[in-house]
Amino acid sequence: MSRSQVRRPQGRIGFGDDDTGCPILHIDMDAFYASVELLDHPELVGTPVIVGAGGNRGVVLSATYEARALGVHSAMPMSRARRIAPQATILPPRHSLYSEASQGVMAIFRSVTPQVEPLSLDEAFLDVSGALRRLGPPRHIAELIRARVVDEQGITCSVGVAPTKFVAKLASTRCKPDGLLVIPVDQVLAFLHPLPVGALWGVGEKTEEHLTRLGLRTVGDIAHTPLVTLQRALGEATGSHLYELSWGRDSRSVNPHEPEKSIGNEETFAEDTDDEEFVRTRIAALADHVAARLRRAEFRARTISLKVRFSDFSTITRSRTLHDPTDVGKDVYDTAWTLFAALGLERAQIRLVGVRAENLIPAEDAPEQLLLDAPEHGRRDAEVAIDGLRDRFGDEAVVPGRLVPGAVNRTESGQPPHGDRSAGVAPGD
Amino acid sequence: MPSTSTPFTHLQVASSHSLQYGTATAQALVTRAAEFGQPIIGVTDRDGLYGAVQWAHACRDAGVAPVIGVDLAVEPSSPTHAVSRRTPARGGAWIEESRPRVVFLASGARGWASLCRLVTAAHSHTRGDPYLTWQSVQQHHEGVVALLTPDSEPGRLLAADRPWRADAAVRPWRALFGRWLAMAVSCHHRPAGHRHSLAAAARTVRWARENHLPVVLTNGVRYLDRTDAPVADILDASRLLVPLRSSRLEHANGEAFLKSSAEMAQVAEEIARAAGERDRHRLVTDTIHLAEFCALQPERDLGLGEVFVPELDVLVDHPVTDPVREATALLWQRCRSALPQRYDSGELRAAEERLAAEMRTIEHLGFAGYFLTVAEVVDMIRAEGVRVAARGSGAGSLVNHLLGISGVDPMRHGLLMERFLSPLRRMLPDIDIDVESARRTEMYDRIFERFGHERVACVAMMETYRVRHAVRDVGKALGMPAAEVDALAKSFPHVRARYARSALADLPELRSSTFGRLAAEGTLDRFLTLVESLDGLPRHVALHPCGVILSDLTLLDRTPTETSAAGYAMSQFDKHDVEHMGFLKLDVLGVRMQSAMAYALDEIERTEGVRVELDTTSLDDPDTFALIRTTHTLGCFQIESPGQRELIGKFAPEYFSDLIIDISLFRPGPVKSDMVTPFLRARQGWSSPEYPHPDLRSIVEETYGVVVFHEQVMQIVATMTGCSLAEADESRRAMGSPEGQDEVRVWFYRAAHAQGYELAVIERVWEILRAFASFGFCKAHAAAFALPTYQSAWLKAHHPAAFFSGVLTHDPGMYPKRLILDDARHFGVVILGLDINASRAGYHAERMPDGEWGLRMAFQEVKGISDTEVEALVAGQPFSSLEDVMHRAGVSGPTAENLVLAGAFDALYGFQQGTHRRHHLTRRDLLIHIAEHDRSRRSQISPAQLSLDMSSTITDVVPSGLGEMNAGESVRAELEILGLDVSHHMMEFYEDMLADLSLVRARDLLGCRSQQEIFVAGVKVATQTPPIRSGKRVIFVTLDDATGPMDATFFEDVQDPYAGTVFDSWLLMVRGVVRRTGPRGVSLRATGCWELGEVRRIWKDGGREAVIDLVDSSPVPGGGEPRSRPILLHASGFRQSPYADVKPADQAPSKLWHRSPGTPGW
Repeated sequence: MSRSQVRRPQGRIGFGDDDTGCPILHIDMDAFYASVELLDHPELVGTPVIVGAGGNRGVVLSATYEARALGVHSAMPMSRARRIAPQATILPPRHSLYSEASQGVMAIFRSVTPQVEPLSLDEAFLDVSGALRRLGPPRHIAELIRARVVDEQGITCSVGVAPTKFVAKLASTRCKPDGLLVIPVDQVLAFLHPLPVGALWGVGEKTEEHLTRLGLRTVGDIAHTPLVTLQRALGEATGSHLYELSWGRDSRSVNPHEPEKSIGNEETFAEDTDDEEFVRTRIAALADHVAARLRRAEFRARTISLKVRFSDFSTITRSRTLHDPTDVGKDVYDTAWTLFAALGLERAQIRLVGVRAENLIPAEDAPEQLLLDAPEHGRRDAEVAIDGLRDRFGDEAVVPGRLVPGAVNRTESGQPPHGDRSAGVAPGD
Repeated sequence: MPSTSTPFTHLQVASSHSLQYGTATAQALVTRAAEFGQPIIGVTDRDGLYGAVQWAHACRDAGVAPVIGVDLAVEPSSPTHAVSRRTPARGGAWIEESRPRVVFLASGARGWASLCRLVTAAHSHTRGDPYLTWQSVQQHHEGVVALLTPDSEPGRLLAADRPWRADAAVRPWRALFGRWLAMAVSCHHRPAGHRHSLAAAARTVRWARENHLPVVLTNGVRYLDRTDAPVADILDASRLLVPLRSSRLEHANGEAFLKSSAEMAQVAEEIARAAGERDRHRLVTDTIHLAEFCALQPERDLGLGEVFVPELDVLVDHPVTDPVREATALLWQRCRSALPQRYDSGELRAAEERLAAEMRTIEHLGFAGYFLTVAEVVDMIRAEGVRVAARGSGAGSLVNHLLGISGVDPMRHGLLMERFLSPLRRMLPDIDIDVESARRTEMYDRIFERFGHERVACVAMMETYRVRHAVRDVGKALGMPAAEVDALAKSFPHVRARYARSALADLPELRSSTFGRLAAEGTLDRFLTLVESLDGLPRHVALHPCGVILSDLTLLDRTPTETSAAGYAMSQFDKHDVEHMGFLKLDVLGVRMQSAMAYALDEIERTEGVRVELDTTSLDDPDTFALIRTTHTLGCFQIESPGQRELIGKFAPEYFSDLIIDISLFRPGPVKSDMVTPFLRARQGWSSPEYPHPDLRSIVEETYGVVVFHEQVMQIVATMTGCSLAEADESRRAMGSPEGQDEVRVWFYRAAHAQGYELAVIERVWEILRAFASFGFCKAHAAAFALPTYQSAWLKAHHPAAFFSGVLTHDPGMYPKRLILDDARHFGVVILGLDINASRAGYHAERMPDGEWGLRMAFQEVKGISDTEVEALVAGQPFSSLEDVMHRAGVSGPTAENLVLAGAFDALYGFQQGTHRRHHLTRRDLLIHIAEHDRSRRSQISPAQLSLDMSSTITDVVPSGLGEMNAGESVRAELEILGLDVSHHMMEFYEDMLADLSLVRARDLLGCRSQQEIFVAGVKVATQTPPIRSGKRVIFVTLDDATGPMDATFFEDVQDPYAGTVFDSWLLMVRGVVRRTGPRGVSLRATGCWELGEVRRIWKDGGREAVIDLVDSSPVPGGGEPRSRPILLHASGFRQSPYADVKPADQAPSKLWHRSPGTPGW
């Protein structure tokens, strides 16, 4: 939760029930992965549970509120989480389960209105303006959704109801878990102004520090600062952006047609490694996978990007734009490997690599390749044929030579032939 | 024909002085060889001769003959064209160890000299990457045997089965070394193709026979026992900076240990068999022959125990024919001519006699050149205008006083030459010179210039693994997450690595941590075993903080040198080795107090136009002693620690000699033998001094019958036995060990009896001497210390503003600056804020319009400010506006912001805190201006446009409507940026609560009854965990509550529940029992403590009652058996906690308080 500053205060909160002019709902599942897991582990309800890859690798993906009370939060390295919450149960992530639950939840949303903008698996904005006549006022719709999510999926969510997206999101955060908070139009400022500046969308740690130095601690402080002063302090765009927000103004509308911007996969290794050959095989596997997904989605990528995360969690991303858009695994691999080799890594301990296809264009829009490049057709045809085989016999049926276990001697450095394929779900996937 | 029981000799052994490579100490290896009955053993450390002197000594002690060599990388004959590597984007490059290596063994003195030169040559390229060029091998091969090991170029080629290329590679070696060349084979039963495989060894033997090259057998030893291999792996991983599992590591297979002769015979047989040799023993016999050829006689070949000082020619500007005679004459002349300046006619006669006596000793030892050299260095330093003072026993010598080396008059203070220089031992004495710390390296440069680089080198210091380094290296090697390793390492206090496990179990603040829990569960077992196995192993070489060697032109034939990080030529020997090697070692120590005093003197001259000659100021100024007696001695040299302030409070010094006694009493020895109590009782007239015999009265009268000084021991022994002072000093030294004590006792009884003393008297005196043992203090040393103590107190008493400027600028003491600042306030000095037009680089004194003294904050304190920025600011003053500062001084945006936030522009713009008048500027308007300025600078394309743009579009600050910072915000900004609370004391923000809770303030402590339970609160300014007698750990905490400092002691029973709070918080409320210790001495025995911020929150919510509840619900110390834990037994039987002599773990923000082990004894 990025807005950790916004905590639910002691006692009841409320700004009244008047939901007139509050068509925007922000719905956020409570401790989503963990809640889904608890459906299968009823004996763990009420205990600290952490979802994250086993061992000390990876990060916390989700944690129950009991675990959060011990200081665990998502994105925290698992090793640290284990240290501060040794009594917590650790469950390995089961992504298919979550995506299934997510689809169910999103289906409930879409049954209310087509105006659903998913932000991730467990979070969405809804604009219920069109459903008011059919289903009643926003508050009622929100209650309805909350009830259906509990009934159908067995998990809880929190809903913020407000005139604008960012206020709705702040409201849902404020009433977590299992809450509902309406911010009536005439209460928006009363709600916003006491909040710390960090609550505002676009205010990161650095901007917050800057604002604090100027004596601007709350959203109200910002609202009561001359716009020109904010612009001088923060720049024209940021200044007016924050000023608008501080007065509850957010012109963004709910956009249900978020196009797929990129396709990517990444892999966290079971142990950090500096073994170039090993990394090469993993990049090849990821490239292969990404290309297959491109073809399945009928996209071609103009840009290939490579992500490398190191043992200290610092991350490098490099990308290259291709001359011709591609959906061929070999092209993706060649580009990704060139990017990797250019890093010249020697002692660096690598924790994760990711390959991503970006700048996607629909396959039918891609320019036809020239005849001179005919052999490349051969490569693509082969991969398409492999897609077919895989569809019939499963993913392991056909594997590029480099990925055949034993093709590269792994025993020296004690690496298993395959890393822990935990990650792979990222925004845009 | 030798049988299998023929003793083997190891010729290739890496000791722990092969940094991060060898795992066994010289001592252990030599002892093992002796146990095996091996008559000779060679040490061939990698890259240096760091351990050579220790090796020679270990061999001498074990009765084994030493061979000394070095294992060096050598430029390959045909350079492999290294692909130019790009700099890795992250994580750094591999540490390459690809160059072939050759072992060079010294034969005789010539060989030793060449070995030194070879090592120096190898280190003459990039620091940290030693290797020999072929040219340096050619230059320095005389007297050296080259051993082409399996890691040499021919060795590697043969392992790779390229004999024809080995032929070519060996050719130049053969041409250069002739018969002084041998191949060496080793077999570690590695797989074929490996250079330590049986096949490679056999192939090498066959090849060597065909080429008529001698070949010997070694075991490439790098550990003592087979089981030490994992430690070698950890060292490899740390040296190469890769994790243990990396394929770049050649994992140890347990064969490279110091094998017995039988085991080596077996290896030899296997190789011989594989090589098809008829004579199965030839390898071993050839090895022994080579060892015998290279075995050294350290005294003869290394020159151990000889004395070398710079040639007299260097000091005088004419050719010298008879250096010893001329040096003596010159010394006589210099001393005689100084006599009348130092002594009036009444004293002159005695002084002349003493000079004659000292000169007899110096002539006898032939050390005149030594004194002249030291005098030359001191003169040179003084000529540079740098403050200099001698410390140590050298102050006992009149010659040193007359030469101006020591400022203390030995005649007046009863200091003895014999404690410093004895005709009975021909070893160069130690003279330590304190100089201004800020100019120490400058003085090094002068010394190198004056005596020449061929005669001067600094001294090295071997940094060994302590727990934090060990945790880091093992953690990295095991591939633990960096953040976890860091957290674990920092949680440890600075203890020895071998105490890692017990520290986790014993120290309350660690036991309760997660790591303590994991250790208790056994999760960290493997990890901790490895950490403990690194204990004490040398990790890297550093420059010794003060040692400088001055020698004659043969210096580089007798010590290898390398370049220190700061660029100084540094001998590879440490300070002990250097002494054994007979070098003149001068300790030129940087003392921050000397810098502080120099700065203060300049400030006095600048503000008052008077140059105070501190060194000639009389030593009996009543105001100075009056100040000392108030115990308000923060910032003063040697007497500012809590323990010292308590002692001064009881002691009440009146004369310079009292200071000498005070400094000597504040040591473990006097504390151990409980000298302090009878001394103070007698001094305060509560008891009369006791003298065991009237003859001794004059000796111990000044210390009320208590033996405090080494000099007194010497005089007592001399008086009772009739021996000379030099002999008395020998027996004093001998009493340091139990065996020595027994010997001296027998002699003392007999001799004293012969002098006619009664047995009862002898027994009593002996008891006193025995208790004194090796403790106590050299009076000359104490006197040398007392001089800057007095001088700093004099400055504080007479020129407080200048004194505090110096102290704060050079940060000399044990306390954080904020406490010193507060002390300045108590001395009536007004603290003046940072001011863009009035501040300088350092603090400075300012005379205010009303005649009061002010102390101006320094630019150097501003967080992140660069030296260039400070210079530009000072050079550019006065400034007319913020824009003017940014434009002309070119300060960076963040620095400009920090200057604004710390109040540097308040005066210029007339800001006043807490006011907000419309259309009036505030600090925040300046911040906005800076942000705007920065943004426009970033958006510019070229600097030319920038300057154009700046002058045209941005003029100066305009009001923005933002309010001014309030007092709390200002102080927070000051703490963050300056590390000091300048405008308000931190505790002002707690005043209301302190009053409501009726907490006792520091200024009222003296009014408390003894044994009364009270509560106090304050900012933590220092914690100390010194060694104390009982072997338990005690935490001393100094708090500052704006009315002065106060000291609380946490004994072990309180530490269990409260140590975590003590170490982790910096604002504390402490409950304690008042302990009165003298007229001005008062401290608290703590029984609990709480974080003050938390107390305040509770107080805000629930008032007084809630705080009382908190206190009542907190644990009460006592109850529960103390846990058993390791206790170090000192030679004297003085028990101390193993966690005591160490720095406690530090946690940010460290600038705000000070932690130290503290002075031992209290």
